Amino acid sequence: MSGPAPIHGRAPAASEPDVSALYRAGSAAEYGLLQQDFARILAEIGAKYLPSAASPRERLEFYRGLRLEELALARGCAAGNEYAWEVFLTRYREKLYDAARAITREDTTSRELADSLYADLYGADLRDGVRRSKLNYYTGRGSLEGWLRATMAQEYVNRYRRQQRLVSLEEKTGDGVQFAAPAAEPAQAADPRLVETTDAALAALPAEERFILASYYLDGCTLAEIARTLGVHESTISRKLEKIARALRLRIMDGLVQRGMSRRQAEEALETDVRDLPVDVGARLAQKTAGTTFLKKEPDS
Amino acid sequence: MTEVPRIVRERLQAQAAGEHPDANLLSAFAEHRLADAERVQVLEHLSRCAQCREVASLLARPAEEPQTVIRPQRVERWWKSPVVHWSALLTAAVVVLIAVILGPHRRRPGYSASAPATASRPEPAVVSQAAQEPTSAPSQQPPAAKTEVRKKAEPKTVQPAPAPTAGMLGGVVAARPPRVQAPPAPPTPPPQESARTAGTMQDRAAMPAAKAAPAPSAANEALDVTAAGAPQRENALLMQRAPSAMRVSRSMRWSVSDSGSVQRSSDSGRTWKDVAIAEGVSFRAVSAVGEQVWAGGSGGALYHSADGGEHWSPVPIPGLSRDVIRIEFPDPAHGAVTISTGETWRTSDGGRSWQRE
Repeated sequence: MSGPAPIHGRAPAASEPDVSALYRAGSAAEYGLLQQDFARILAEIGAKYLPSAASPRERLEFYRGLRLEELALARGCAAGNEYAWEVFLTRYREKLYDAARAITREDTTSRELADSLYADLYGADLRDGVRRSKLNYYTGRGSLEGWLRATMAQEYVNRYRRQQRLVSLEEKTGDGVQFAAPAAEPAQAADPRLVETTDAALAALPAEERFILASYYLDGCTLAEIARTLGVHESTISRKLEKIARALRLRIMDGLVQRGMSRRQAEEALETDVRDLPVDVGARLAQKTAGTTFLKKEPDS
Repeated sequence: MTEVPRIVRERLQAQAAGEHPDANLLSAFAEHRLADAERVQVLEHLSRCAQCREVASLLARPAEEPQTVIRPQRVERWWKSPVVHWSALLTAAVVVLIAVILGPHRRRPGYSASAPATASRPEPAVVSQAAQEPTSAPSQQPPAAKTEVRKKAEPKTVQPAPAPTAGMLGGVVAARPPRVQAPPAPPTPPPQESARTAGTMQDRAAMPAAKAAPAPSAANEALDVTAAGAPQRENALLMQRAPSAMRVSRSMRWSVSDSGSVQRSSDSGRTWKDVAIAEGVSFRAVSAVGEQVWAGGSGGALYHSADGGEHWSPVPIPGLSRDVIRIEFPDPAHGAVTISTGETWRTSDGGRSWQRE
């Protein structure tokens, strides 16, 4: 087997910890990565996820939590290392097709999805004569298999939603931009106190509870699906949902009363059919396109 | 379940989504590997973004979830039932055996045609294949003929796994790109097949594309040139690069997990199970030819199973101390083991003796 093809990059910053042990742990040398290359990769990942004031020890702890061997494998593949590709295909080719089938639940589409991802992973996309592999974006936060599944799932959802937009007769779509449908004429003015109180009640909920509500009431997910996503038992979600719905209703009622409504008025307001409210559905449904990096770094605790 | 007022649903939907988490965060979230603060951030976004919720839901879906494929109604076509098939084959085999034993009938011109009489039953391909064999050895002595008869039964086991010949993917996806090419879908697999690890039925569709690709000896360069020169079917390029692998032994498949465990699937890759071989060994390569399975890994560890992975025995190779990274067995007798330094050991007697290249 020919020697590894080195990837030359900048030396890691002085604040970066010694990554020699990490380099060995990741078997990066076998995938054609020099230690300085691996250190640079880790530093880039650290810059993305860690606060800038993170100490070397914190960085080291963070790096230790990464999937180092898979990171080295992915980056070795991205660099075109043959052995890395052999290992990658051995491990993941079958699983990728299986994952694609689990996502699409249909053979033809799953194959297209998996093949399309493979093209991106291999770097069929050429820019200035340089092959760019999507594997360069893998950071080792989760397993490589999970990252591959997530990438496929995102692509699948994007395609599906793109098709939905194309068939819509009331919306114009641009590349990555969605325009809202014109708002319907309101049949009745909404009580702003109801909207305000509901917003406040929702904002007071933990993110997880809002996620549960959205998954169940907006997406129609089953309790089992929500439980799987959160890694808890189905009965936990059932209990939480019941509790959240009751607490939310009480909170809104109290909020309306505090804003000057009587109890009876508050109950009536809650029972009002939203279709009578001037809800701009298009604006509600508008989503921003996938932007830049999502993660907001937490300030040092 | 207590319903929430419609206003709640409307306001839930009205929240701005913000920037989307990338696949790294979503996968780490799905695997519960995020720190609390990051998890809350992701959940915050998920509570507002239906698109990312959909992705998260797909990630949570188990990979081995069975496909919602509507299977053909077997009841309607009873003659295609496996029971009928096997009965027909057994009947044909018995008829041929009787004909052979009776002796005088061996030289009947219509001997080979008698099998096809039963070939009109289901699985004509198999029966006709079996029928062909007697014609090739009409003058053979009874023992050989019996062997012939026995051989006829063999395709039955092979048939469900129309795996092609050389070049099936083994453990560490074998051959270097120039050497092995994704084989075309063969109509009749030979008795000895290079049934290396993992492959998918679907890859057969890509085979013609791979077949049309440049010659194996120039595959590497052709790959680069092709990739650089013009947009091609990337999966065809990848099929060249992927040492054949993917061939469809529809039943048993082998793979190595990222944690160094050898895994086996008996349902075409839908589910995988770890195979216990040896403690303390991180496996890196696996190769299978029928029931003969080889697995190698850290510290020169090499193990062999002759019964499809049920039992394993170590295979010591003198001088082999580095990690085994590749194993190739195109047939049960001939094989090669490569270690991390690039050195290769070869055997031509099924692993009894090895020579270093």
